[in-house]
Amino acid sequence: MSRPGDYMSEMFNATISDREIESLLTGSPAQNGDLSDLAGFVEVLRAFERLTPSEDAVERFATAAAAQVRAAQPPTAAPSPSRDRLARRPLGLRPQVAAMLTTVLLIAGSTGVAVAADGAAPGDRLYWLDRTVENIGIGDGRADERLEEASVLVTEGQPEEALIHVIEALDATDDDVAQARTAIDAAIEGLETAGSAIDEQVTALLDYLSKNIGQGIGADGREFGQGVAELARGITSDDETEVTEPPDEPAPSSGDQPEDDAGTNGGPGTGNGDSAAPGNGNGNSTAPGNGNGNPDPPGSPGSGNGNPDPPGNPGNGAGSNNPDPPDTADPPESGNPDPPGNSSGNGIGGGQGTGPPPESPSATAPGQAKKP
Amino acid sequence: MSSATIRNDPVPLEETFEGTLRAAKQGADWAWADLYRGLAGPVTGYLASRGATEPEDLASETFLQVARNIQGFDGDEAAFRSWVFVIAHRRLIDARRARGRRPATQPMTELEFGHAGGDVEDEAVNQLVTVEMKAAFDELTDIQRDVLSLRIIGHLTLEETADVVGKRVGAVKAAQRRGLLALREHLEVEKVSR
Repeated sequence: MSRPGDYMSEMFNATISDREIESLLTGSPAQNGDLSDLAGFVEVLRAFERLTPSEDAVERFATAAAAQVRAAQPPTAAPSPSRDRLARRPLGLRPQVAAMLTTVLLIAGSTGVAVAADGAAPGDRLYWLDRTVENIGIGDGRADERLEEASVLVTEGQPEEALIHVIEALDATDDDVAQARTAIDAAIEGLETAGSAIDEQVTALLDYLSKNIGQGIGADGREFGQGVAELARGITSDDETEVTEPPDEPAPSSGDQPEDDAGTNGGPGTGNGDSAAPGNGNGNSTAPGNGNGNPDPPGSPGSGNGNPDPPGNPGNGAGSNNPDPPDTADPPESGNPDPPGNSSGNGIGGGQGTGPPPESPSATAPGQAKKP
Repeated sequence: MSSATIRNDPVPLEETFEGTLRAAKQGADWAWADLYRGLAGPVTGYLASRGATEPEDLASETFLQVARNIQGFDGDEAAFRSWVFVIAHRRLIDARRARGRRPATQPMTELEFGHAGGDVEDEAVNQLVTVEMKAAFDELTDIQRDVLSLRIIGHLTLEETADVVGKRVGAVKAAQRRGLLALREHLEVEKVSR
C-alpha cells in the first residue's frame, strides 16, 4: 500500500493513504475501523446528491433551456445583424458597461431608454441599445419586481449584489434575456476587480434610474433616456472618470411631468433607500409590489394619486412596507416576502408612496408617511 | 450505518451521451430534460453543501448557463459533468461574493439531510449524525469543503476537481487529505466529549 507523503506523517499518527482516501471518497470505504467515522461522514455528505428536482422542475427547465438554445442558433442563412451583434459582447464594451446598459434597459426598457436609442445608427453605441430593447422581453411582472428591488440594493451601496439580483430576476423569463444575463454575468466578474470607481458609477447610474424611472414615455421619457445614455457614456469613456453627474433631472423637476407622478419620485436629491421609487405605481408596470403580499402594510402606501389601483390596495407596494429586518443580504427569491436589504423599510415594491419624499405634495396618501 | 439506500455511482445521463448532446445543441427538450435530470441532483447537492442559500435556484441558473454555452462544449459525459460543475462553482463563488462582507466561510446550507431523500430510518440516522458532522464540516476551510463536496457529491476525479476549483492536483490532494484528517479529529473530539 502506498504511504502518503511524509509531510503528513507527523500529524498525530493519522496518516491516511492515498488509496484509502480515494476509496473513501469514491464510495467504497475501506473496512478500516479507523476510518469509520469518516465513512459515515462521507455517506451523509453524499446524501446531498439526492436533491433531485421534481419532474415538473425538470420539464420547466428543459423547455426553457431548449427554447434558449433554439433562439440562440444563428439562422442558417445570413444571420440577422442584430442577432449577430447580440451574440458578441455588444460593441466591445467592457463587461461592466454592458451590464450597466443592460440593466438600464431591463429596468427602464418600457419607459424611455428606447426612445433615446431610437434612430441610432449602426455603429453608434446607442444602436445596441436600440436593438437590445427590441430583443429583450420585458414586462414580466416578476422581473419588474426584482429589478426594483435591485435598484434598492444599489441605493444601499450594493451595486454588485444588485446585479446579481437582476440576474435572478431574469431567470426563467424570456430566452432573449439570456443575452442580458450573460452580459451581467461578465460584469459581476468584472466588478470584482473594478474598484470603487465603477461601483460609484454603477450606483450613480442605477440611482438615477431609480429616481427617474417610470416617469413615462414621450417627451419626458426621451429626456430620461438621454440622461441614462449620458451616464452610460460617462462610464464607457474612462475608468477613472469620476461619477458622471446625472444630467438635469428630467421629469421630477420639469413641469412637463404630470403632476400626479411627482410624489412618487423620491426626490432626486435624496439618493438613498427612501428615494427608491422605481415603478412608482404610476400605472406603469402595474404595481409590481404585488406578490410580496405583505398583508398588513402599515397604512397601505399612498400609491401616488393617478395610480389605477384603488387607494389602500394592500398589494400595491406592499413589499415596501415589509416589516422584516434588513438582514437579508441575499437576494430573495421570487415570492420571497423579504425584499433584499430592505433596510429602509420601503421603496421596494411598487415603491411609490413609501418614499417619504420631503417634497412630495401629492402622494400624501394615508399612511405613506412611514419613515424608515 | 447502512448504505443500502446510498447511491454510490454517478447517475448515467444516457446510454449515448453523444446523441443527447447533439440533440441538446439543437434545442431538443427531451435532451435538456435528460441532462438536467442526470446532474441536477449532484449539482444542487454540491451547492447546498457549500452553503448556497438557494441551491435549487443556483443550480437552475447553472444549467441555464450551460444551455447558453452548450454550442461551445465538446466532449464526453465526464467532461460535461466536469464542465457543469465548473459553472456551478463559479456561480457559487459569485453568490458568496454577493453576500459581501460576511465571513468567507459559509456553513452548510440548512438543508437538512432529511430532505435529501431516503427512507425514514435513514433519515433518523442522518439526523443523529448530522449535527455533529455539520459542525465538523463547518470547521474546515473553504477549499477543503469545496474539494470534499466536489469529490463526494459531484463524483469528480482529482483532476476534474482541480479544474473546478482552479488549483493544481497536488493542492486538491492536500486539501482533501487535510480536510479528512481535520474532520476525523473533530468527530473524535465530539465523540469523546459526549
